[in-house]
Amino acid sequence: MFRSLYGRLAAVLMGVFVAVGGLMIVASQTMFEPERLQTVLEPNLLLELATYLIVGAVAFSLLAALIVFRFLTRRLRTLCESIEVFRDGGFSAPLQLAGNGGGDEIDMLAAVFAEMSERIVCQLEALAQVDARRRELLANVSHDLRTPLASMQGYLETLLLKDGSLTPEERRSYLQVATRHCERLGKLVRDLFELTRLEAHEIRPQPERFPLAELVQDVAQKFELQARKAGQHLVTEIAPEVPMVLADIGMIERVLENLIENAMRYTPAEGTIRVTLQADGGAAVRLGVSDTGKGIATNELANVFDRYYRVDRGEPGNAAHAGLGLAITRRIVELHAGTIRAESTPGQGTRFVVELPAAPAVSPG
Amino acid sequence: MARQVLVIEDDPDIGRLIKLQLADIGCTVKLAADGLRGFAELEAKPYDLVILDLMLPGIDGLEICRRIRARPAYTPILMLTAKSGELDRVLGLEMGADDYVTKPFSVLELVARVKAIFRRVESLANQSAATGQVIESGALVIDVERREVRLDGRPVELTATEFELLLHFARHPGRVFTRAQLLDQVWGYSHSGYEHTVNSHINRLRAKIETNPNQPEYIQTVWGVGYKFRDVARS
Repeated sequence: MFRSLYGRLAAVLMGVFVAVGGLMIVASQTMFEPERLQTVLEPNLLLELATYLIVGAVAFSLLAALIVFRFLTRRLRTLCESIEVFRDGGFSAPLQLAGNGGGDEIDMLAAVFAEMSERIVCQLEALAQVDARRRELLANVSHDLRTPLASMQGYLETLLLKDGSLTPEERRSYLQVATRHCERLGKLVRDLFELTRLEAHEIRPQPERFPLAELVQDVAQKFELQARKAGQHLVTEIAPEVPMVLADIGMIERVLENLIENAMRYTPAEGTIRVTLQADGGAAVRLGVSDTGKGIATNELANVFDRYYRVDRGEPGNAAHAGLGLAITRRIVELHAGTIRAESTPGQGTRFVVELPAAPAVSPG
Repeated sequence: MARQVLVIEDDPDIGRLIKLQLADIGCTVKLAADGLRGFAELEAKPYDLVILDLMLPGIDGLEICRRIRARPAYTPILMLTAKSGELDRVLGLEMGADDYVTKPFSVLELVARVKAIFRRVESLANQSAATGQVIESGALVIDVERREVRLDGRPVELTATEFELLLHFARHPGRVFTRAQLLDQVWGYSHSGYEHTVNSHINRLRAKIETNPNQPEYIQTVWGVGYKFRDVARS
C-alpha cells in the first residue's frame, strides 16, 4: 500500500485526521475540568475555544497539504528539469534519472522516460550512421559512374574531333577503350540494381533440389579459359558423397561466380584459385574458394562483405572493380539460411567459406 | 531471300542500331516507332521476326505481343526492354515471346539471339517434316514424332524444353556435352548469364525419368567435363 503514491497520500491524510481528532479530545478534556466548568459555561469562552480548535485544525491541514504537495511536485520538477536538459542537449545523451527506489507512479514515469530517451539516442545514432554510409555510397557510386563515363566521352569525342588524322589502329583502340568502359558501367548499374532489390527483398529465391557439386564443376569450367589466359591455375576439389542442396540455382551460380571472380582478381600469374566442396556433417555443405593473393589484414576482414568496401590489396586492376560482388554474395547466402566468412593470412592468400544447409533427404524412387 | 524483321521501338537511335546490325546478317528491317503503327505494319505483310520494345507510347509491348499471338500465323517475337526484373522476364515469355533481351544489351548478343530464333524456327520446320522415329534406351522410350516419353510403359510429362534436352542427349548416347554446348545446341543461346538454366532443366528431367536422381542412370555426370546420355553399347 505504501509503495503507491495514493497509498502514501491516504496515510498522510489519515495521520492528519488522527492528529486533529487527538487535539479535539485534549481540548474537550481541558474544557470539562470541574474548576473550569463554571467559566466554560460562559458563552464567550466556549466560542473562543471552538474558534481556536477550528483555526488550529485548518492550519494543521494546510501545513500537511503543503508538505504532501511539495513532496509530489519536487520529484515531478526534477523529472521536468532532466527532460529539458535532454532536449537542450540535442537528444544526444540519454536521461540519467535516479528514482527513490520505491517504484511508485513517478518512478515508473521516470523509468519510461529514461527508456524512451535511450531509444531516441540509439535511433538517432543509427540514423546518423545510415546517413554517413549513404553519403559514402553516393560518393563512391558517383565516382564509379563518372570514371567510365568520362573515359567513354573522352575517347568518343576524340574520335569525332580527330577522325581525319587518326590511323585505323588508333581509331580501333579508342573504340575498344570506350566499349570496355561501357561494359564496366553496365555491370556496375546491374550490380547496384541487384543489390538494392536483394536488400529490399524484391528478389526471392526459387529453391530446387540440386547437386551443388555439378554446379561447382560447371562454373569452374566457365572460368577455366579466363584463368589460363591470366596464367592462373584454377583447381576444383569435390569430395565424394556431397549431399544435395535446396536452393535457387541461378543465385548460387552468382555466388560461385562472384567468389571465383574475386579470387582471380587478387591472384597473381602462376597463382592458384582453389574451389573445394565437401559435406559438413550431413546437415550442410561447405564450399571454399581460396586464392594465393596478398591476403587481407585481420582488421579489414570483417568489412569485406560491406557494400562498396574495397580492400586495397595493391594488385593491379583493383581500381576498376566496384566492390559490390561480395555484398551481393553475402545477401544471397543469407537468403538461403547459409553463412559466409572470410579467412586470410597476409602474404599467403584469402579463403571464403560458404556453408549451405543440405536438402532434406528424399527416399529414391 | 532476305529475312523480314519488324522492329517496334520508340527510341530512334536504338532502332537504327538494330537495323544496322541485322542488315549485316542479311535481314531487311522495317522500323515502327509505336505499337499501333507496328501492328498495322504486321497486318500489311508477313514478317519472319518482330523485335518488340516493352515500354512503348500508346499500347505497351505486352499488349502488342498478345495481339500478335492472337493472329493465326506464328511470328517469332524477341522482347527488348529496359526492365530487368524476373517478373517482367516471365511475363514476357509467358505472353508468348520467344526470347527476351534487356537494355543495355550487347549488339553481339542481340544478333546471336536473333540467329538462334531463326535456327529454332528452321529446326522446328524440319522436325515436322521428319518421319516418325522412336528412340529406346532401357525402360525409356522417346517417340520423336508424337513428342511423347514413356518410362516402363508409363507416360512421362515433360515441358517442351525438357523434351528437347532429353531428345538431344538421346540422339547422341555416350557423347559428353559441356553446359555451354547444351545451352548453345538446345536453347540456341551462346552468351553467358543463362547457363544455370541447363542445370535446372537437367535436374528436373532427372527427377522425372530417373529412379534415383542421386545416382542417375540416363543423364550421367562426367566429372570435370559435362553430361552424357547412357551409352548402352558400353554399359
